[in-house]
Amino acid sequence: MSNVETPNDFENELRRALRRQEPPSGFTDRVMARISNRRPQPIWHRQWLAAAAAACIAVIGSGAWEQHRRQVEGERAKQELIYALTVASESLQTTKHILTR
Amino acid sequence: MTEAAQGQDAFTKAVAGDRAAFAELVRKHQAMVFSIALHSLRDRALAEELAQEVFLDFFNHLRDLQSPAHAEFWLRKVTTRRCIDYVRRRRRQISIALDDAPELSSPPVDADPFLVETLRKLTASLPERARMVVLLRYQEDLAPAEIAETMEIPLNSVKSCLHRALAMLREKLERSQVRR
Repeated sequence: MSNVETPNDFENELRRALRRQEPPSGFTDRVMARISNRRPQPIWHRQWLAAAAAACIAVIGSGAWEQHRRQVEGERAKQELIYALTVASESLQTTKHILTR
Repeated sequence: MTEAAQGQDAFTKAVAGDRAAFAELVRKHQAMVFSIALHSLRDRALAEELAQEVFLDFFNHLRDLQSPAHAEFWLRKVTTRRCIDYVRRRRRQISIALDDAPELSSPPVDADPFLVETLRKLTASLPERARMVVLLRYQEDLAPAEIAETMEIPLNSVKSCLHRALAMLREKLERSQVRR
């Protein structure tokens, strides 16, 4: 039979069993050594990353702008050609009308 | 200087970059962090590794913490979360048969060694969330509301989890003592 008689006894036994324990000796020193041995990211490395990101954005941005510019120019050239053809067509119609009269 | 004032002083210096003050913070909280990991994982080497990782993380987050109390809360919360994650990730590897689990340390002098070791093993055999609730309640002596805050779960879940865990532990203990 259990030697833990009441709920309170049981909880007290649990407290006793789960009492805090110190880590193996030298724990703090090992933590501090790991902190000292960490290689911090150098500032130049972070600056280089920022510059690379800015360059990427600039290249992508200028590419997109160039494409937009070409599209606008193409559209304008198309409209001009349509206008020229319309004028030429009207002139031909007029000439044909004069000749057939 | 009172203990609280000393704690505040070490915390302030550590936040300002004083390594000796940070070492003092580690010494102050290492038993708490290590014991949560130890009672949860039942492996001293793993518990030390996890505790070291928690303190490295603590070092990196020190500037985000506002007070010694906040630092203690943060450490407990991060340790708890890491233990649960670890147990979930490696459930198969660390599901040790109770009889095979190594003894963690000699029990307190005023206690029945068999009972202490059995209770430790039984606690470690609980599902990870229930295990952590029991550890925070009986190792850390937290109130259910504090456990809910630490584990970021509803208070009612903590209460029901604790109730079920205790019933389970009692039943398993009875069975183990009958077998004995």
